[in-house]
Amino acid sequence: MFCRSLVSQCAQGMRRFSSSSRVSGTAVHAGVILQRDPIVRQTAKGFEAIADKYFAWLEYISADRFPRDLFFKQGSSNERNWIEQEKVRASEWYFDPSSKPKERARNKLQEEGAESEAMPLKSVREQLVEVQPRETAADAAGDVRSLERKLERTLYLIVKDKSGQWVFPQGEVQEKELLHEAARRNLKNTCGGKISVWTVGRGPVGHHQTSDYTAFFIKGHILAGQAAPAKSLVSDFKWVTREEIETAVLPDYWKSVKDILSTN
Amino acid sequence: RYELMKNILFYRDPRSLPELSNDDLERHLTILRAQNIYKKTTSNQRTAERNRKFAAMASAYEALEKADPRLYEEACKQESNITFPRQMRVPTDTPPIKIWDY
Repeated sequence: MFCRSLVSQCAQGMRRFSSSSRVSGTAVHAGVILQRDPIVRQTAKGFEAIADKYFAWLEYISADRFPRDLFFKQGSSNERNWIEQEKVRASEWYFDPSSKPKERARNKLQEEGAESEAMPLKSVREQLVEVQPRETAADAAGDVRSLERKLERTLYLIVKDKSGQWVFPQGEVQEKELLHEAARRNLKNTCGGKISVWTVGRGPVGHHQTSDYTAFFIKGHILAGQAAPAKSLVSDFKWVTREEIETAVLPDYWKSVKDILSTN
Repeated sequence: RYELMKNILFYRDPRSLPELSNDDLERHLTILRAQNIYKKTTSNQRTAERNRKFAAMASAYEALEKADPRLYEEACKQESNITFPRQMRVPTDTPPIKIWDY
């Protein structure tokens, strides 16, 4: 009995001075919630889109006569484009059909309409600028490792650890290391050094408690580069939106993490 | 030409809507009310989300204080002259030709 208590005392002493133990006896881990911010603005959807259309139309019909002579050179392509647009708009009416003006005598549109070409020409500016599609190749392919997917949304980096669970990249905090330094080091160890990251501040944005350790998360924004997982620590990675995380991650983990993530 | 510009800028009648029937007015007021409701709900959702984020951060700090006082002390210190990195881009209306810098 004496031997056993001595051994246990030694063990306790050892624990107190070990690098990963703290006051309460649970280890502290530091991780990074790395996010790729939206690249493209959100468009108005649903009710907002329709309401915008209505109010834009209201502005249009209550506006003064457009001084066409002042804005457009006679016979220019811009003028032709405007005439085409006016013809389309003439058919729009959201009030009582009976109150719709029969003949919108705006700048003798009908006369000009017969003269103009069938297809509206692009203005010089439109010819020079080619607008890129909002749905990228990565979207079409459903490539979850790509950073070019879902340009409107915030993407978060999750990795598959040794036990096969999807988590945010994390690791232990060493002796004499600060939380944000540990988080950056762990991210570099798990995901390679070829990512340029801006970690926000020195403190955690959230935490996840397990029986063995408490993981504290630091927020990070990826500025450039791509993750290159170290096979010894992490088997896979993906960049996912908030809803996709909910399905990928264990329910306990999701509960700790859901309030940290942005809905957009 | 200057006369035209002068007239446009200074001598114009104030704008007015065309005549609205009773139904039109009702529709218009309904749309206005719907838009107000929409704006309020989205605003409240955004505020609630922000509050949840803050609460998560606060509880993390509490847990850190209990777990490791040294780390907590260091985490509470604030860096001076914090700036956003220059490479952090603002969302645009349409995507760039080169979407991501690898």
